Amino acid sequence: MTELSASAEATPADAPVVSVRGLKKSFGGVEVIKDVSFEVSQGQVLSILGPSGSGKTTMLRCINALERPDSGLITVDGVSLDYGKGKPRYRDILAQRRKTAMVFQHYNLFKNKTVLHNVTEGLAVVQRKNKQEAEAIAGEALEAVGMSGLEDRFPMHLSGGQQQRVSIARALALNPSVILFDEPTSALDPERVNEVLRTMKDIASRGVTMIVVTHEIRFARAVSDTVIFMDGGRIVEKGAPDKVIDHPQTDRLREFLNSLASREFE
Amino acid sequence: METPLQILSKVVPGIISHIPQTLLYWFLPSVLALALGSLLCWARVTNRRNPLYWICTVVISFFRGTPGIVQIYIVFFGLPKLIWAIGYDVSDWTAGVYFIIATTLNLSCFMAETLRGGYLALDRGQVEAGLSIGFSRVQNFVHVIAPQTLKVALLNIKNLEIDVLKDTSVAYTIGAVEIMGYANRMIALRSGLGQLWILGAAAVIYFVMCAVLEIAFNLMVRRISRYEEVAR
Repeated sequence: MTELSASAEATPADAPVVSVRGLKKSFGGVEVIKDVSFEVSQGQVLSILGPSGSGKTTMLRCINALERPDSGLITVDGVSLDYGKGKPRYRDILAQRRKTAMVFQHYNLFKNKTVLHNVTEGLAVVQRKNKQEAEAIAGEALEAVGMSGLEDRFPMHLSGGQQQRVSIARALALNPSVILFDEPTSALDPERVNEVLRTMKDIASRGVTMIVVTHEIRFARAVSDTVIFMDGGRIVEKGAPDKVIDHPQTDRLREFLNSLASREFE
Repeated sequence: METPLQILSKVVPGIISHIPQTLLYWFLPSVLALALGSLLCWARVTNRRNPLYWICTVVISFFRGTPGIVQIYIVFFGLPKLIWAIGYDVSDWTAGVYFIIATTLNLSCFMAETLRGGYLALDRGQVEAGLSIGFSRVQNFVHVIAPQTLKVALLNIKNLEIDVLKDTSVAYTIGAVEIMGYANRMIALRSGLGQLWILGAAAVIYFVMCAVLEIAFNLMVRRISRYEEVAR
């Protein structure tokens, strides 16, 4: 299992794996991220909370360059892109992206590939591992998410929760410096949410660095080292989960937490 | 008076011996058009401010909006003049070369639009998944975009290919000899005697070839769509 646990031993313990400085992004004149900065250290779990449209997903997608920020400096495990200096070189974008992996809200498994091949694809094509090596790593990753034995299924024949766990295995197998989770349980029915959250908790306990955009408050409190609350494209509150979630300092966050709580008991 | 059997036994071996020509006039344009059509398709899915987009749009609408036989004549009579004008003599090119060029140009335009339909049906999430695991643009094209585009486009490509195979039968109009060219020549030599038998034999051979092509495509479609089958 050593293959799948925390990477980047080379990084000093306290140096941030992900660092975002002065991030700004607009869509058609509307500024959705207004000067956001934060850091994530090796092995830490950062949860990002916030209402829809607060810019949290866009921010996450900037970290693997699926969106191009208007300005800001993003560093992932030593690879920096300074968007303030214009369009970065494609080679650098690719290098930074290869330090990350992403788990999408709608899983986005390759629908024409089996479970096993979904996981081996990146290993074989990007990391140029041979077949046996790729399948061994994929086997471990699938075991880690509890999907052993379903290697030959196609995504269409799996439940949403199973698909999401395969997608976590796909990310995990690449042994990235950070895994980005974009509302990983939002598309699941309530019964399936827990199996995915449990898997994510397992992954976190291996020391994998994670940034999680989520609406699951209890998960955020149980698993995160740091919680960020975003609203209107800014970070409104940031800190340890017991501080941010249990002792909100701003009216906006109190309002947000209340609305989530009232929904639960309706 | 010859019996139908005697007519057929004289003509059918000759027809069969021209199957390779027909297959060549089908296969070569098909392969070339897949490549050229992909390029046209690429130009048609880039942004509209690119002048290439408009050039390809006009070219495609021309080839889709004029009869194939007219295009064949234009290429057959016009291309040698054009090439001669820039200083080359191509009088030794056979009619088959012009037929292949004309068919390739025509098919490329249809292929481009068929592939474009497949590309536009592609789920963006699949493309982003490829990028997220670190695929370069080329790797993403080869491993995600191309196979999934082809899957959607394949049924329409099958229709195109069957049309192209049958339309090789107009090659004789510019003197390229294939199944239909040979059959016509036999009919003329025999002053029309037994022409229905000869045409009928040609029809059966075309039908068999199209049937084989159709079965081959159906197998491909089944293979490429197997992930959609109901779980066993």
